[in-house]
Amino acid sequence: MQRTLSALVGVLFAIALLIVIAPMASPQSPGTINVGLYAGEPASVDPGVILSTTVSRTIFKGVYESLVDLPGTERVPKPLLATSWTISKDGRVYDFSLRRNVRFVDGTIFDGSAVKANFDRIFALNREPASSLRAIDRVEVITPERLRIVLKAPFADFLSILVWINFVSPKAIAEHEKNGDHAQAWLRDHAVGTGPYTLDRWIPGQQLVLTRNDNYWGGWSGNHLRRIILRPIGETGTQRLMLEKGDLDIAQAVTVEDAATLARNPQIAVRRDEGFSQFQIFMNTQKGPTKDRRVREAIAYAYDYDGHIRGAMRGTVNPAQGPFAPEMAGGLPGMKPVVRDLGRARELLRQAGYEKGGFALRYKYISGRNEDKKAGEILQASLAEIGVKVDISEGPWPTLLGQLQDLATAHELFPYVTVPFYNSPDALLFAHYHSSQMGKQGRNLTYYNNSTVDQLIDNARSESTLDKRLDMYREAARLISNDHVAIYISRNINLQAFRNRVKGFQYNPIKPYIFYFYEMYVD
Amino acid sequence: MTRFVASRIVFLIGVLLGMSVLAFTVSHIIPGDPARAAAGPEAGPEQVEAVRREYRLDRPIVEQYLYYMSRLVRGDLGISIMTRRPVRDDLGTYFPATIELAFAASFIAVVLGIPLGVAAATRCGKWLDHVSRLASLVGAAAPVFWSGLLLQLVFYRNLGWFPATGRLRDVSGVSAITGFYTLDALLRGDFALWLDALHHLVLPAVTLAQFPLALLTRMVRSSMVEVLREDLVRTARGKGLREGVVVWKHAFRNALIPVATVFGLQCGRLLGGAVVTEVIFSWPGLGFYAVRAVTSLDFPAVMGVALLMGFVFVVVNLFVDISYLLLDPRIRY
Repeated sequence: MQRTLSALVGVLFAIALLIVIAPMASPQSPGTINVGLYAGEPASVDPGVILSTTVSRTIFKGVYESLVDLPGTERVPKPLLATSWTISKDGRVYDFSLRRNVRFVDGTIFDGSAVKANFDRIFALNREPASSLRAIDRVEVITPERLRIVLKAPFADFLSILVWINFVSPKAIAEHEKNGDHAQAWLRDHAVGTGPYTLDRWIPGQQLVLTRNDNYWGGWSGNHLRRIILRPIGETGTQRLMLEKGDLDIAQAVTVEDAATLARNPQIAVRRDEGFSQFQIFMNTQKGPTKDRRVREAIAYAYDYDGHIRGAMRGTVNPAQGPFAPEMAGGLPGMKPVVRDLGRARELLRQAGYEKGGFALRYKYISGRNEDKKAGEILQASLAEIGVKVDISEGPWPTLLGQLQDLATAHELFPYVTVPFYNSPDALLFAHYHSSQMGKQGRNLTYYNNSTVDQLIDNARSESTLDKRLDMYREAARLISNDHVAIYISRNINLQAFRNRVKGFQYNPIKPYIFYFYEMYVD
Repeated sequence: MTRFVASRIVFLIGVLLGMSVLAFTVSHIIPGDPARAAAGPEAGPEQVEAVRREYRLDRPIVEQYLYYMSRLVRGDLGISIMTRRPVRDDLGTYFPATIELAFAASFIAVVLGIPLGVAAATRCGKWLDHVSRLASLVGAAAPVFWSGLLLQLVFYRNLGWFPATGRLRDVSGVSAITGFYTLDALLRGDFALWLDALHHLVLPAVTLAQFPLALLTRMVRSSMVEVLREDLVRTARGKGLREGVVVWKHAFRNALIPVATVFGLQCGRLLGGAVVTEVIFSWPGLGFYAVRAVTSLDFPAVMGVALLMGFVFVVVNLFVDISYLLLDPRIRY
């Protein structure tokens, strides 16, 4: 017995030695980039089904293409698969000239009927992309190179939405259709687009590998990446170690603490970019004490902004000013971040009939969200000073959303990170403040109802002059801020860390975690 | 014996049926809207309704349950809301990773824990006993997220001996046969791949083994100390048997029954997916999958995981019960 045991120990020792001695292969190969994804992997890479998930969008930008694009900090859409376009005077008819000599990776020619087939598929599938295209009345192929889209009503930001609509080879759709699913099952983990890369492998939970599409219409002269390995790594500490070691070239999940350490490493650059997404605490405008505008204003004046930005978040966020980032409307003149004023808060409460406060509000946040949690604690301490109690609870997002979408179960206060889907205030104003989007209808979860604001949002949609449109958005922002629908707290700064060999990254505040791999390269 | 196994299989069906009712009820009474979660943040009400119809969430819960069960008996676990793949395929992807990791961790626990426990018992009160006690205490008490990151820091970042995440360095060109990468590499005769898979297995397996190893060492020690005081050991020694034979053949075998019980439960636990270890090492296993399923209210996936875990627990316990027969011939079923 003891002899076999010692033999076993010997064998184990030998294996252990072998594992340790065997060299770990070098991770860097020319033209290959390793990206650590923080938000996990996409549910699907089918552009007919998914629209807004960051990870899916990253892959879309590699393997698929849209009619127009908004690279970097551009505000006006640029040609991509459409080379030019005209918009009719009434703002309803868009005529596109399509790029010639473009083929999908399976050899199918890209033309007007391919575009139409994709729009038809999107509407037949009736998922997220279909919601974003509700404005479309019909799509017509005029000639193979000319396409017409007619809207139901004018929608000035329509082109900005087309940035996210990608096209799949109609041949692939037809070939892989099963039981009328429009090839949904197959396209979930396969991609057949016109983009610079193809989805080579996807092993769930491990890696997504994109490789170069040799026949890409844009060509391969100059510096480009050949191969992109995307790895979902949920643990921030692990991403940091892998970046330091060189096993990752880009880390998406960088905590404030890690950023400080990484910044001292000469081989790593930490980017801090101010995004358009912002953090606020929304307040219910239709029930409980927060129904009273003065109570909402009192809460906004009581909140300890400094404690939030400088204390809890250690200066890693910037103050927010209103319902959207000022740059989105070319500035918000005359609007400033609210400054804490407890005297004014108490006076407002007195006017509202709550001299000593004396009521309780519920604040519920998404489990695991750090800023939400800290904001809850700050809110609790801040409102205690004006005699208002805050009950904090947490839950998973779908649960929270379910409760907020029903006025009867909605919490008076809830934290929310707004992320504009396209580069226009419309993206936030319509979704969160238009009365048609209340409760189950959309994301107006404060049940805010102001007909003047509705009117401004609607009118801006049909206004073709940008300057006039921006004036309307500024006016809407002013009205909403005066109504104190939310405590506007902070604008987030996106932290991403890159090894120095990565070049060509362009920051885009609308899509901070999305990469244009074709424009990027490694030394 | 046959009757025992048969009765256990009937028991298994009962447990699974009970679990299915429980899991189904719980996952459906949680407030929240899985259809909304699945449709995506930019989806309008019309699209959310389409998803709701697709997953039959608009039907009464009893009808939904019966529909689920009618498909379950045909081996269909439904479509995951989160991954949009059949849950059966998902489990087939993630479960082998968990089994491989659990097996490696159990292996480490047994190979180190049993000799250490026996050695501590035979040297009761000596320095080895104290060292093993201290090590077990640390092993049982240290949180996995801490020790996992510590192992990464030392053996990945500083020494560079082992990789930090995943199951392979580059998954391109790998096609799974069994889903157990170490086994697949051997079946294909690819030594470099085997080594790579083994390399990736070491740190998560050691991290996961930490607690069962500590537990096993303590269990074996205390059980052995008790048996070593019994008459059978004195008799064996009185017969003039060598100490090694007394310890391993006579005492150890008798000490194993309580150890097997506890270890069986531990194995069941390991096979259920080790959430923290899997997250730290980006190990694509069942725990990893289950967490994502729960947070996105993906009830078909939650049901699939719950049923699979229930199944595994009952089967492991069946094996534990059978192992008693081998360990102690006096036991009869």
